[in-house]
Amino acid sequence: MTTPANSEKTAARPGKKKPSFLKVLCISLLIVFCFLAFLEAGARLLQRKNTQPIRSIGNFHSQFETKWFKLNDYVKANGGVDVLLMGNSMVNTGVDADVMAQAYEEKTGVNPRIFNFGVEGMDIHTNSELAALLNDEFHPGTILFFTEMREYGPGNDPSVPEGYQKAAWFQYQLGNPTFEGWLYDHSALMQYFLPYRNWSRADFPDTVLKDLYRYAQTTPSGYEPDRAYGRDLDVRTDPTDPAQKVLFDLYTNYSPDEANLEDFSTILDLEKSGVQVAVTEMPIYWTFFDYFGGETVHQEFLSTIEALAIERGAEFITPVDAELIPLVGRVDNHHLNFEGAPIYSELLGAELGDLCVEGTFCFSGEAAE
Amino acid sequence: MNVTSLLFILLAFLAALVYQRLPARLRNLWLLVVSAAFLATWSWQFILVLLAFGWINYALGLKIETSTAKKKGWVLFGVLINLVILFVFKYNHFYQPAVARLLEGMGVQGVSDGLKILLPVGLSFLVVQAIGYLVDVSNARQKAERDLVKFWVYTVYFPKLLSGPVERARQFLPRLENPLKLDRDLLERSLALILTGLFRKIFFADALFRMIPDNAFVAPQDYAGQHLVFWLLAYAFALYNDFAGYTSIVRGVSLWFGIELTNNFNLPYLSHNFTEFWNRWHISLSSWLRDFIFFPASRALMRRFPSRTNLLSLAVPPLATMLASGLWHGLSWNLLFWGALHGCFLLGERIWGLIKKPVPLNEQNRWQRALGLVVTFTLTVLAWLPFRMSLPVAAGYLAGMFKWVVPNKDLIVAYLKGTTDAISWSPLNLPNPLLVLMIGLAIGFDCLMNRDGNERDLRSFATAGQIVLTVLMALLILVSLFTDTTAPFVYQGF
Repeated sequence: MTTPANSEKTAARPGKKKPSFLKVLCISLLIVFCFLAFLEAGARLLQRKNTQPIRSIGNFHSQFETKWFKLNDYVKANGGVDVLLMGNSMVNTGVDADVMAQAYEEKTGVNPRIFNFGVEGMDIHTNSELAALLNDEFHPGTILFFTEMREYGPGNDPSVPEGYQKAAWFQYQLGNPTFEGWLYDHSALMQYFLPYRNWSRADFPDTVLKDLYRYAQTTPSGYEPDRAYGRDLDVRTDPTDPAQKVLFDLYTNYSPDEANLEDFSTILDLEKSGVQVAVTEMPIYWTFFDYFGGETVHQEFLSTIEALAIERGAEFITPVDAELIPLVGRVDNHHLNFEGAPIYSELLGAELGDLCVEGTFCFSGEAAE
Repeated sequence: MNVTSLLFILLAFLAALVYQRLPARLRNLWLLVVSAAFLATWSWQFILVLLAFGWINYALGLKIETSTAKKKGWVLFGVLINLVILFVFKYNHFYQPAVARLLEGMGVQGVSDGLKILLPVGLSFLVVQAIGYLVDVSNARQKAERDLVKFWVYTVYFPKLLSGPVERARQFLPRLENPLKLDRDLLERSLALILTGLFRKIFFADALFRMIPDNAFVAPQDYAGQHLVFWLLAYAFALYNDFAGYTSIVRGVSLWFGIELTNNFNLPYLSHNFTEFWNRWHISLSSWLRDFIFFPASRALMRRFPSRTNLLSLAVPPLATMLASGLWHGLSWNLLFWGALHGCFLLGERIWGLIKKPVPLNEQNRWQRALGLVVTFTLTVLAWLPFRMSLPVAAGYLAGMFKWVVPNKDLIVAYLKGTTDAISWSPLNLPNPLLVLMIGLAIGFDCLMNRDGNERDLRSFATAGQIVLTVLMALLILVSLFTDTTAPFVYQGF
């Protein structure tokens, strides 16, 4: 066994002038820099021409990014946004902002610019930070926040707030600047590259296809239709079913958590910054409330939320009657599908339109007034 | 601190700047301080443990050199004490539960936590180094080192601390005495090594490791054979590029201090037989095993059984060497099996050499060489199975590799025609195309770096080639740096 010849030391041939590798490195770095600058310019041109392939700001939550960029595009195309709908996945797949705006217009003659910023898995704490961020960035006239009982109980997935807190871009937006956050926020090239940053992950082929599909599915006003149909929705929830028992155990003796109510108040307090805040609840099917102890507990929850909203000067919108949404329009006992969402959006738009006509509550915002 | 981090490279560069400006008498002390600081980024206790380890071997070296009658006894004691240290620290998971049970049985409570022992970084490498030093001193191939600081530097020199290379004292200590002058040529060589190393580590190794699902080597029965084949190939190239990349980086960094470290890898997957493979894979360790196990065992057996065809003389040296290699990697049945497999491969070659007169590589025709390369590569890759996983799982993995699932042609056509929304890749039963591309690139890169069977220096390309390669490597490293380590959010009914 012999040690192989070390070719590193014989890189230069005798009698031939050896090229300086330092010079090579400098030239190469210059080329890399120029190439990146060229790509950045190209990316900015793409952005300006409104050619909109999927983009990212390095957040772990691709749906949040979809909403962020769609909202940017929406504002660019419509000159602003009047109403931001916020909440979790129930809002994402449950409210078609265009249908809602049309229904509102039919009652009032005013066509508000509404965008659905409902994001899957969003907890109330992250939503409270996000609401402030969206308000600063896009200056909507109204924020309509859809809340629900789970947000105030135990069992919210901690990976969601942790994931947002870890994201450099999110921190940058919250006023904790880092180079990474700045780069993700300002570089168009990075934003076009970042959706593919996980190219070396085992799950990449699946996640990238899913993300591209969902990006394409989401309407310019932020609504993502869910094509699934629920099964056995009229069957009563079963505390002995292991899958449901978890939820029953989680929400036994339900009462809203103080810290979460505090976060909710933070959203309501945005009123002080000039934006109008309204709160309502999605049309959840009644069996859902079994986990929490039934309809009585649900009504107590709504009273708490309503009292807090009124106390902070926000508007509480009476939830649309859930019975008006047929079972065929539901994915499960709390999410709506592509058949249920337009029905609900029309009902909600009409209800809000009626409130406006009565003079109780109107959307504010440039186009909504 | 990770050697691929920008911080490591920056701090090492600053340390080298100071080193280059210090008078010669203070340089080793400075290296010791820097190495201790590097150790402290892992754990400050490691400093004490490794300094004590260095001192023990320093004292043993002096004792072996000065003793006349009991020289062999002292060497044996030295080897034994090093093995005990290795056992105490590295294999503590083996004996700890039993010791804890014993102590608790004797009424000593709460010992489980107290017994937790951290494995000092790079201990396996340091132990073989130390054993080699003691044996060399006893054989008068090396004078016992009298300068304790210098010996400590030999022990904990930070570029080689984590994973070698395994340096021989007789080569390393003179380099501390007379370090190379850091001129432009040396600086350029170091930068070429670091760039190549970063490219191998970040672009190939890290990416290929990530492309293998976490569960693949735990429950291979859950996956189709075509995936298992590509993941094993990915693992083979990831492992190689990881270690080769790391070695390249630390060798480059070490040159800033004027200290040349041993090359550890030389395009091992382009080997045409297993003897050649072990001359190209983890060279510093395999040459150590050759010099301290293979050769002595061969010599001893040849003295007793001079016949070339004696089975013991044929079988024991390669088997003992490779079993020792397996044990060095870890105390487990699967690693022992991996060592035994390679021992058998080497033995097979020796027996084949007796049956048919071996033809030197440069006299073999193209087909013979290609066949040798394919057979060596295939068996080496398959042998990574017991290296990576327990024996039952490895057996399941091997069996699973032959159970291919036919790709879903209808779905592929539907995706291509657009009649079905392309929302998921997995149902197609096709391998990850990026993984296949990466394996191709890894093979291509080795072929590109191959000049007459040896890995060439980046600087040996024509200037235009150097620029193109450097630009590509820099860009590919860049696009590999932004991967999320945490899983993307998947909605699971929050």
